[in-house]
Amino acid sequence: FKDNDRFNVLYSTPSCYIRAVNEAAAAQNVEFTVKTDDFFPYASETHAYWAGYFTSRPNLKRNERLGNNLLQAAKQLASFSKINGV
Amino acid sequence: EAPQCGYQSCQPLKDGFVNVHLVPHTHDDVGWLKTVDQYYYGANNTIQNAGVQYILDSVMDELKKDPNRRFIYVETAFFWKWWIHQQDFVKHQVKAFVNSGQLEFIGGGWTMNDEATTHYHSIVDQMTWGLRKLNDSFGECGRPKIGWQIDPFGHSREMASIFAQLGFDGLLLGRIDYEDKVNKFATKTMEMVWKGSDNIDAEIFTGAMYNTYAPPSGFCFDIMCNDEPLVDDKRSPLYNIDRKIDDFFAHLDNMTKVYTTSNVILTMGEDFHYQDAHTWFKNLDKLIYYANQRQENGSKY
Repeated sequence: FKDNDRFNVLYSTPSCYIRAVNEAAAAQNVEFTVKTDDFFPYASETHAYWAGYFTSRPNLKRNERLGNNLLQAAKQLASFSKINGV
Repeated sequence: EAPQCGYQSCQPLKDGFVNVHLVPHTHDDVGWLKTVDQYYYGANNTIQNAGVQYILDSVMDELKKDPNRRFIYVETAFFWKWWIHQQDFVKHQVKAFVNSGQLEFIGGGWTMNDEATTHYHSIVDQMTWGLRKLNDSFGECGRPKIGWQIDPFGHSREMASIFAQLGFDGLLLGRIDYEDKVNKFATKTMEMVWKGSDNIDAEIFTGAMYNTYAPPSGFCFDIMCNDEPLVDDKRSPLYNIDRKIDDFFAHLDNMTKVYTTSNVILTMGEDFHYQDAHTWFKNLDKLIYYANQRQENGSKY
């Protein structure tokens, strides 16, 4: 790497990076693969599948779902209360 | 003056070179080993050394020193706690950083939500809450353009669909299955177009990161790391610029083997980094300077 004719290093952000990738891909006629499924399950190594947390702390999980139901109902009632002439 | 944020604020790239995008960032869990408030104030540091209020103070001080420096912030729950405590003077300064693109919000939800156990309804609510605060405070320049799911353990197609429908231009992922990653390295498919739905138009450019969200080995310059700092005094016995730049280029060489375009992204930060942002930026300034010096100096080094 004595003569660096390959790398240009700069401060950047994810949006600047992604714009650069897309512009370079268009210029170089790179076609990205299309993904239509998900990224589950996640395994970080052999015998380490992170699927336990799908069910861990069931009480907390249930409480969050109930909380969401209450929040939606509260938002609807709050907006109804602002309607005049009903 | 007109804001220069967003894509206009991107640093110029160099044609004919692999452009190496250094992205300084801090991954701030909204509660994990400590509570949200313990993380924010830096309490109970025997559990984990982390204080988000210091991170944001310290980053703003460092952005002042050089307009080329960049920082991204992700978790609006923490940012909002900090923002409402700032004096007008600081708020004006932060707005200037946002308007110039030096400080960019990425993701921008109240938190970086889980994708496995969350209901789409709650995801929309938490994204809306975070984005609303950013919009009220900064307007268009505060609008995130990129999904930043660097730590969730697996990724759902619905999340891709939601990001696409939020109007995001891209999505970056940290954790993908280790065998999937081996395969993607071999087939150069770390970058893809993710079609988030069979029913609606919800496509989003998605990239999987090389090293989850960590910096290359040997280039972690946070106070929490113990990597050697860059020593550029040739009379010092600790002088290491030649060797460190060689190491850096060797890492980049490996990265270019698995990505398709002449661009790579390096995530320069880890969990609750930048409590003393100076140690990071001081060394990143040198890394950029000495790496690019070789373009001009050729074999001199």
